Amino acid sequence: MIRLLSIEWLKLRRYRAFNILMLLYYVVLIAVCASVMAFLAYIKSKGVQIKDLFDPTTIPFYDFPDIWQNLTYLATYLNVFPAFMIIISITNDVAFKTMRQNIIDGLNRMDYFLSKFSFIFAVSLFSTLVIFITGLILGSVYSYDKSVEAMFSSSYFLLGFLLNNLSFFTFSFLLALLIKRTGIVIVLLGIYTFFAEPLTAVILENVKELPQFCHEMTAYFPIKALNNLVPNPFGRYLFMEITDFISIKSLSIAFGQLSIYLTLIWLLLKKRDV
Amino acid sequence: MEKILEIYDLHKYFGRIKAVQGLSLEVLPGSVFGLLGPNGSGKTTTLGVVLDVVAKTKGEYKWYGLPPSKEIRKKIGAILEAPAFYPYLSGADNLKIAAKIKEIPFTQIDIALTKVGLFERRNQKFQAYSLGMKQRLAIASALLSDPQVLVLDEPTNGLDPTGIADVREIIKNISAEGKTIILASHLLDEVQKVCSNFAVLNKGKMVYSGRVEDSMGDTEKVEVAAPDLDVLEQKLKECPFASSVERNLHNVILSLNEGKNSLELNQFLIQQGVVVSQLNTIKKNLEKQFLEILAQNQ
Repeated sequence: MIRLLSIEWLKLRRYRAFNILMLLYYVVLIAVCASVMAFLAYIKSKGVQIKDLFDPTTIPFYDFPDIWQNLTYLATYLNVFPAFMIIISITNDVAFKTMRQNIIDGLNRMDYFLSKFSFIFAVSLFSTLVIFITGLILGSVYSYDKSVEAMFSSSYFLLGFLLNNLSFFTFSFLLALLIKRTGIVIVLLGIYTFFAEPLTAVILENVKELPQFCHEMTAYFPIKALNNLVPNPFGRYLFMEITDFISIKSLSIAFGQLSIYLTLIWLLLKKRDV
Repeated sequence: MEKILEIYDLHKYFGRIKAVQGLSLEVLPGSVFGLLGPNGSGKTTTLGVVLDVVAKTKGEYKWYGLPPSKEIRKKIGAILEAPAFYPYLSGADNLKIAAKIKEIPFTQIDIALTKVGLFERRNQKFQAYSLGMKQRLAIASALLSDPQVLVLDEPTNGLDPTGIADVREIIKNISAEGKTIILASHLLDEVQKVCSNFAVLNKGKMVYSGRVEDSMGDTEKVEVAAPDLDVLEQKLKECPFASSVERNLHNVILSLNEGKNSLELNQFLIQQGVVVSQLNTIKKNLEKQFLEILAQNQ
């Protein structure tokens, strides 16, 4: 497994696009996480008052244990960066015919699949670790409650984030294998993730004339299902009720989808002449 | 003797297109086996199947007498069609990937690069390589695991004359080490120059197989040049053992009758008072035979 991962690493470590994209991702990730206070202060300086009730800078964004849901929720918006990288690594192998050469040289299709998936796993794990460390540091600076119980009581959102990443990257892997053209895959994934699916979901959920199952089916949409792993936590600062846990239902849906993606990828790789 | 590669009754259909139909062949150790055929005759498809990148429709094949597996592929050095590498990586970095896949130490990389004369340029990016260098890197990659058999698909395709000569020299050197080489080509001349055995494919079927030597026949063609081509041509036409005399721009080509050789031709010309400036014997080349074989199978 380590050998398969290191094959992927050898392919990418001196690839400029990879280095730039990944560096950008981690810099932006940490910057976004760390600058929420600065952002709230900026809002205050502009004179914006939320519900005329309180000062935005008093929002306990970095308090344990809420910090985990807050940070992981923010971070899920950025995981298109590594997803693009994963897409490029696969479409490159198709375009350069290196997937074929890898197999000729002595990988079998399962090895190839595992080398890509172990890379996906490594990136997901590393990103989760980055969030974890960033969260620990920010929390110990800003949090009122620094007890160990508070620190880790909602840390399962990190696992939610990990699963969110794994599944989203595997979905990208599948799209890349199906469509093969870098630009098209990236544009399609972007459109689908940020426009097509959210728009469809909003319509299905809010048009009252539609039958009940239409309102409920959105939970099974690929992106929606992933987002449900780390639900939007910010309502709590507006005194709204939010989901501050990962439901068994969303967990099962996400796992189910991940298994479907992996199965489809394997079927594609197994059958295809490369 | 253990056969390097055996193929039995191989079929590959792409939908309605029958790329390979019932191909059987054997490659013996130490031979340079030429797979010859026009474009689209099924050469690359056949190699793709035996290298496990193209799924067969029907048939069997074995390497070293064993059923195919990834472990066996690690012991084969192969390139299919154009050299496939990461353009943004250097030659040496590209070979690291192949070495990692084949589970051999990185120390083999410099050895392989030296064999093909790329050691000096190892840190240059693949995309900056000339076509000839790309082809040589592919051969270096195939040589990495010091395999008993090399599969080369059109290794001189698109190269300039120097590049072609370089690659042929490398192939000859590798063959001299006792390695088996399977070479697919549509260039008859190439097969004639480097191969010991060959098979001709046409429309997915094998239409001929044999030794290159045997197929050359024993009638010889001779190329003669002299300062005065008019006189030369006239004298040659009078020569009792020369036939099909043909005048070219700078020389005259003719066939010698059975049992006669170029020495006797030279003696004849001297007796006739013609001094030649050039006298070349050309072995009858595969080209004609190839075309004949293909014509028979249309």
